[in-house]
Amino acid sequence: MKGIKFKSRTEAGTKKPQSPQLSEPEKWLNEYGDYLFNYAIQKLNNITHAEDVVQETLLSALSATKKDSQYLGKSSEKTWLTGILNHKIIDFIRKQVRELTIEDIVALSDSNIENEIDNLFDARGRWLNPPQKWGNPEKLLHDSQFLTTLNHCLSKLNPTMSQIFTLKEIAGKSPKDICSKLDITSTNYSVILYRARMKLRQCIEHIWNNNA
Amino acid sequence: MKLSCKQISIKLSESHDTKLSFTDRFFIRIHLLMCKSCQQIEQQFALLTKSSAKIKYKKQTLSDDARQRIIDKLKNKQL
Repeated sequence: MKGIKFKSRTEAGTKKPQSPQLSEPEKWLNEYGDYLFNYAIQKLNNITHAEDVVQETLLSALSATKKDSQYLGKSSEKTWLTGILNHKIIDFIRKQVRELTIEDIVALSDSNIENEIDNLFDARGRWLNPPQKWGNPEKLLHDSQFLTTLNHCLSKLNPTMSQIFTLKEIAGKSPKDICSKLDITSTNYSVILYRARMKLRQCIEHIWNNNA
Repeated sequence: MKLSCKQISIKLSESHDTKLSFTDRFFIRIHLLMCKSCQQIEQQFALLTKSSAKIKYKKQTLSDDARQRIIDKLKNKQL
């Protein structure tokens, strides 16, 4: 065992930094894997998806170094990999939105969701089930149980809704950015966010006021 | 221009994404003065935005499975 370890260390030590060897992408994975993974979770709110984009990122990075061994001169490895990851995340969401859009735009303007929201109001647009008080907003903001409830409700949303809400409110992207990157109109964006908020508040109210 | 509670809730949601016109803001204020339910919804939407910004995911590490899968893929590609 000792011999093997020693050998691999020597190899690493004598390796020229300019020409990536077999161990280069694995080094990226060891050094930046968790960083990239956490970065992706923050944007995607999903472990499996985050693993996938990290994998895609390292594969792309590997291809890039094959073409251009000077890649490192441009920026630090971490910055460089994060840049690639950002593109992969956007690609991933775009694909997700595109795939779901046909279904979803239908679903989002769908009579089911429409009805669910319409059912909250009477014919003249007045509340049928008026929103209830949840408690002191300042306190709730620091209540870990409330944040857990919010996260739970977020996971119950339709994936596109949850994704767009996450980008806006958790990742802090601007609506303009989201619309242009995901190729959706600002009207669709507003409708999706409105429904996401209405569904979230219903879900939270249901859980919160029943437990209280 | 009299807005219904439903219209108010739509506009309140919009106000978290974009700056509303002066007229919209004016009619929302008037409505909110008289409507307790819409005051609640205003508070709830605000809380959704504020508390979402506080969601910080716990630091996670890639699972050994995922790590191995990625290494395999990378090795495949290198060959």
